[in-house]
Amino acid sequence: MKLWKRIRYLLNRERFDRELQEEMRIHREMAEARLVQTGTSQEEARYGAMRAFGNKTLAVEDSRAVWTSYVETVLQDIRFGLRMLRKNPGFTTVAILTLALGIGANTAIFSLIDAVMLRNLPVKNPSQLVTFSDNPSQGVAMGLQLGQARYFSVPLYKYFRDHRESFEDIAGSESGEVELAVRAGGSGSSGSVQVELGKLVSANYFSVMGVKTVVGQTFAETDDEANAAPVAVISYAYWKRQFNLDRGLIGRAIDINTVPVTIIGVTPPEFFGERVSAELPTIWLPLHLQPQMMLVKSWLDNGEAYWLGLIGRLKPGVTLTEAQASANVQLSQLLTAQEGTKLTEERKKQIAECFVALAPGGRGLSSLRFSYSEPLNILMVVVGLVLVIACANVANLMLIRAHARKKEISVRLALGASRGRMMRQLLTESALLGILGGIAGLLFSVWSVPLMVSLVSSSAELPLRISPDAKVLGFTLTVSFLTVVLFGLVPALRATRIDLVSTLKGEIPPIGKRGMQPGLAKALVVAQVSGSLVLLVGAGLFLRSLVNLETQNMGFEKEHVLLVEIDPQIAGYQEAGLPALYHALEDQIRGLPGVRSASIGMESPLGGSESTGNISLEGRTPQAGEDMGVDTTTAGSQYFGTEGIPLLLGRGIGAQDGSGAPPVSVVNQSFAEHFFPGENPIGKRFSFGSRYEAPGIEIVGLAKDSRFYGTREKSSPLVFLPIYQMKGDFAYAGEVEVRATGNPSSIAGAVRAAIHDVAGNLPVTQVQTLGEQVAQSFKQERMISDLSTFFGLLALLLACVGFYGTLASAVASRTHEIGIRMAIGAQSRDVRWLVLREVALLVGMGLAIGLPASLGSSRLIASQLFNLTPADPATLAGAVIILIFVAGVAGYIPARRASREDPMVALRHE
Amino acid sequence: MLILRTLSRNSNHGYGIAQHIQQVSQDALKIGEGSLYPALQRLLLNDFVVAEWGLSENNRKARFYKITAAGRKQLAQEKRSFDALLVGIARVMETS
Repeated sequence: MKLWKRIRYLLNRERFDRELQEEMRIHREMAEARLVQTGTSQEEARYGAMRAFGNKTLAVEDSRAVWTSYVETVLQDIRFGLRMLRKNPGFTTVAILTLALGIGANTAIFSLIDAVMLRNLPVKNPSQLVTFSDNPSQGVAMGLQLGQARYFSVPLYKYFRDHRESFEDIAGSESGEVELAVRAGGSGSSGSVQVELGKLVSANYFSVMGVKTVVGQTFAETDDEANAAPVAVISYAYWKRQFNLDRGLIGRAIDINTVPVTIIGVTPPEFFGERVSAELPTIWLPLHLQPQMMLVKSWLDNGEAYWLGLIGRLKPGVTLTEAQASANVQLSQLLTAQEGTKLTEERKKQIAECFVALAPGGRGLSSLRFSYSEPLNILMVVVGLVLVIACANVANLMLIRAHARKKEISVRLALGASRGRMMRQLLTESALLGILGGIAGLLFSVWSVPLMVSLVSSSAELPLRISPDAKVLGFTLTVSFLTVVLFGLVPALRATRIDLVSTLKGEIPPIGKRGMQPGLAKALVVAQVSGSLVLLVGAGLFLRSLVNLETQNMGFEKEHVLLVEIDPQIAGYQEAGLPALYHALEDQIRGLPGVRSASIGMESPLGGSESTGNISLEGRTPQAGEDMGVDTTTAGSQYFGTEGIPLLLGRGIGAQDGSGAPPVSVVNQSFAEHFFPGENPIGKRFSFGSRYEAPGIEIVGLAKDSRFYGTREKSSPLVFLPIYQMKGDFAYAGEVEVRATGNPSSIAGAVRAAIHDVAGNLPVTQVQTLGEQVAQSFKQERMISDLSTFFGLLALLLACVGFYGTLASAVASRTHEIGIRMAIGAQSRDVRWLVLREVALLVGMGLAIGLPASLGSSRLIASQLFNLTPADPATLAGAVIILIFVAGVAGYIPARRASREDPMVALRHE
Repeated sequence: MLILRTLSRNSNHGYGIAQHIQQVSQDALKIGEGSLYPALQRLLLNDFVVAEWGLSENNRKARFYKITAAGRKQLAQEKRSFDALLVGIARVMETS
């Protein structure tokens, strides 16, 4: 009722005022008339009536005050606050931008963390899902894996599924994806072959994931029985791209690896499987199709082929810990049972070392999460620090402004404003700033989030849908609210505690001098300086570490090399025809203009996949525990020249090393040093397997060590085998490497055309330069170095603004003092020194705090650094010099202004 | 309380209220207009009185205030507590 009346008052305020004034006027007139009646003169009666009435304005004000409520004062405050902000566009812009950068950077990084690390899979009750390993790596392991089980065999999967006590159900799915040659028109159609990513899954996969189809259905239990008719479920993206959302597709057959497969369902648009990655499967197939889809021997009954990832759905009320306990028992039971009578003591020990580590599966498996969680956490700390610096900056600005507005505040207090009312006004103003900054920050993050995602992942198809969702929004608002409280309260508290008399008389003590808490403004600047130093040192370390990585001697020459990925296996080439294909390709490409050399091979340096095996040497039995593992890769003739890997001894692989010729190999330095220390390895022989088998493979060349599988690790023993001599999977090449005389990209078209001429049906899956491939492997380092540099410079800029603001304000309020000093003979040099001494003091204190803090925090990022100690003196010195230089510039401007002051003007000041 | 008491007989305008109180108290109580009008607004806000424009005895336009039922209740209550206060004060004064 009251509130309603008050609101009505607000709406009709003008009428109310008019009526009140009218009423009071009538009152006076009545009093006047009465006085006239009692015989007073007209004139005197009017004054008498006025006197009797008292302070009219006060009466009106008081009457009004009865009706006004907090709603109105808040509105008033907001209006006034907005006006004040408009009046100081410079201050407002800097403050809002500062906040926007701080809040925006935090929101952006948090959105990224949320998407990469916190977000759940778009499936039913994701919290019930459990993966049997949190390792996102994909592949196949032959033979028992010691330690944590990453992959599982089909028999192992079935055993787990049949003995599930804690789980409603357990699904098995291929740990990676398989490339499929798809003829979408079905067999016999003339359509071209496309490469799609497929995934082999158990029949219950979709029900375990809790995913329903948008059309059609998912697999039935019978779809995965041996000899069941081949069926597939496809992704919504593929349905849209290839079939234009045609509902009639269900029941139609497409041709996959020359097998006709009937499509029975389409998954919802948001579903992408359990693996968060850039390359998403588009076709799901039952496990029993594994031999036809992978084009290898059947692994369905092979207990030695570990290639599945398991994902289970917990029964309601069962915890992960309970499920974990039984899983390990089951693993060792089955492994023991598999060995049967062959079980040896040694094997028993090995089995005892095996374990399953169940992990919450609601967020899926993510190599991004796996590899980016540490950098992202570092970045979170970095942007947190940026936010703190930004807040300190805004607080400083507010402080300076409150200081400058002292007179206004004193007048208001003197006119009777209460301290609480003033505080509310000042707080409203800071809240306005905070809200505006929050909005600007949100806009900033909306713009910058896609940028950050592109830094993490180059593929647009990555299932990271980053939109500022409720969680992110809440986070931003909390940050901006805390910021407001943080920087609104302190200046408000201080601004209202003023000695009225001295202020009105014009004596404004300078900030940080006489009477005011001297520490605060300076402490803020010192905090900014030390925070910036920490960030600069971090950025410098990341930058130098990246430079170290990139300029290290890789052992190959990355310039001028073009890599063309091919896949003869998918194109259906038989093993016997491969050497001819390779020779034809090599000859054709070598004949192109602008090509210096070309070679076929499995991969080039930093290409990614790795295959390892144990070897044994001729005439030598390995000592117990000796590491006989080597990496192997395949290469064609001219491989070493093309990649720019120098040969130290012997020869490279030649065209003559064909299937009829004696088996040969080239090894790297690490191989030679590991197996033949101090000896010439040329002419030595080895073979794969645990026992040497004649004639073995002869070593004919020694290549320089190169960074082949990682840019950080030491080189490990590596064997290059002639691709023309290989059997089975190893016979299939992965790419053609071409060394150009000029820019490698310019010959890409010609190379593609040449491949098409030689083998029209051979799909080229990717073309890039070796330089790009190398840069790819530094992506994570580059991201963190770029971002930390950006934020470091941002922090520096903010500190610079804070520095300048504080000093400028200090100089302004000391004009009087400076004038006197100059009048009695101080030179402008002395005045400059006066101000710069302050600068030196503040920077000195900032460094004194910042240096130990930098040393402490850089130790935390030591694992991310390459060839660099966390206390790298050059980086520290560089950061300190940059900081001193910038602070000097920021401090010199007010210092010069002070020294240019005309003493007379300064003395007359105020 | 005084305003409500004044209005409990008949409705009156601001000047009339002030005059009435002054006369009845025989000039002992003078209500300053500075406090009269804010007080009236408070009464309006609390629904103890209502106001309407009308003509005064000598045909002047004036705003008349009229007590409401809630106003009378409030008056009775205030009178009770005021009486209690008076009694209290009187007792203290007698015992000294």
